Amino acid sequence: MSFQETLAAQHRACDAEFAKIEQAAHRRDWVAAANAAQAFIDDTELHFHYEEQTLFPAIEMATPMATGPTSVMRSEHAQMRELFDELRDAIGRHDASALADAADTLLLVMQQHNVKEENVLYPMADRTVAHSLLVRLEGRKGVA
Amino acid sequence: MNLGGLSPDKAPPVEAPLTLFYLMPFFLGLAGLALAWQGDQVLASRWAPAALATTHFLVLGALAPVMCGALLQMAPVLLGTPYPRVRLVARLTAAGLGLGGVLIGGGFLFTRPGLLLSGGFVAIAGLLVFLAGSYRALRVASGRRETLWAVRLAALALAVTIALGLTLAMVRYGWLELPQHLRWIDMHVAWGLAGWIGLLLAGVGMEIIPLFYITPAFAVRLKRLLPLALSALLLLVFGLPGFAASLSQSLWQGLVAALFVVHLLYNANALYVEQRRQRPRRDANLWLWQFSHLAVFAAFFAWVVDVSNSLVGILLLGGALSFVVGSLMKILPFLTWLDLQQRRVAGGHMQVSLPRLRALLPEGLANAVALTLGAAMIATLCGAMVPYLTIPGGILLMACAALLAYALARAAMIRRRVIAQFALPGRCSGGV
Repeated sequence: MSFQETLAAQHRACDAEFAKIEQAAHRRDWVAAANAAQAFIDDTELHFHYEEQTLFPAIEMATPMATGPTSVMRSEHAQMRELFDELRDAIGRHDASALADAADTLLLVMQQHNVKEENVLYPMADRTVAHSLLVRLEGRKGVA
Repeated sequence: MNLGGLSPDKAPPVEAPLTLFYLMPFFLGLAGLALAWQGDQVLASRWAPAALATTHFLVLGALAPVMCGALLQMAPVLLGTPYPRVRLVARLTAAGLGLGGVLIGGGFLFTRPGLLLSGGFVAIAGLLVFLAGSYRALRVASGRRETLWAVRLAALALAVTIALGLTLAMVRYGWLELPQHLRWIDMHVAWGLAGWIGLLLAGVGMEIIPLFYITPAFAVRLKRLLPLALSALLLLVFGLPGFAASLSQSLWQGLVAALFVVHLLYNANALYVEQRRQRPRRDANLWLWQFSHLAVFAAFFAWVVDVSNSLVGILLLGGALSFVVGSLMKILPFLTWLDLQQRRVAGGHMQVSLPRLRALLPEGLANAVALTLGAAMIATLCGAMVPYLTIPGGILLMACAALLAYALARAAMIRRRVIAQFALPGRCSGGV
């Protein structure tokens, strides 16, 4: 398995969990929506944690000119974390309209972020970073 | 490794695509006016001045600017690289398409060769700037291979369409003679519709539909083969004038059928994945996209039963408009929000809360744009049976243009208001 395959598969898994939040909210099942949101946020945070603590430093070490792009990726993670709070808040208030709004924004931020990582950063990691780091990732709980 | 698309200072400024987007309502309004005024002629023959004017208002003024603007904005994400000097490219392309679109449409409508030719040169100049930028961006692009090929070949199709258009303008006014002149017009239409518009919308659609609605991916073979199949078929079209007129006509029918089949495969796959989307809600964007897929099927049916070329043209152009307007309903609030968010973080204005997407483009307004566009298309199509219905068709298109202009202006005003708040110390709400 490559960084590209493993991490892109995680993106797809997080997408599926994200959709479960909207499906539950569509049924007005707020308990299920809260559970789905928690599962989505937990898994996405695990993915972010691996990237921020392991992958990005390794890329920066191998390719110093990549520091700018990895800092952009980190700041987009921060944007998404802010939107996680809005998502949780809307579910807590059982506000379907606010949830739809936060979900639309979060999905667009998340998808354009994922495409950039999958098109540029992961192929670069596959060329420059030791795959032993990937072994550690695959052994983690909760990540695909 | 090209990292340009991810560099913090290389994200295109939101003004670049917006400059181009602002042209759309103006030209939709002009097309609506031409339709309301001379709709019977538009449906009577595709060679009627009003039909040619309406087509060029829609293609050059409404579709091309939004397609170019969206490409400028998406390049860092989809192609992994930004356009060089993106503001300048956007302004010059918008100026060329805006002025050129008016002159060409006016030239056809009032039969003024001077306007037509000067408009042609201005529009071509604008599009050449865009193509030059595309060439530099696509040379170093590093996105997904299938998307890259679709965008590259669509840009090539645009260049061919422009060259054929200029040649035809010279033929029309007796400066040049070509054997089987009508066949060259068919080539211009085929390269423009199936190549530039169809290939770009399909190539980008196969990338963004799964992202926006969390759908299954498009068939891998379709993604790989669609750009190549369309390009190969369009190249074959060039050989047609070399055959005798009757044989050339039969071959042309075969090639059109093959071009339709390739596009139908894409549209069928799009409907299939959209039906299996994981996001449960429908919005104006999805309605318009599905309307556009169905319009291509309806165009094929109209072509097979040989009703009229005008009807096929209205369905194909209407389908393309639906896809592009639908995408705009999604892109406009998000780009505005993203711009404000980046300014907020860069300036450390974290105390200012941003307007939500639905405040930037209320759902009711997006639905009204979708509804008026769909109704305009249906009324115009019904005009084939009841001619006076092209008048409400044109009026509905003007209403759609007015709503779109309001949506763009509204988002711009909210954005300006929030940016002003960033400058004020101690303000805590930018929400609307």
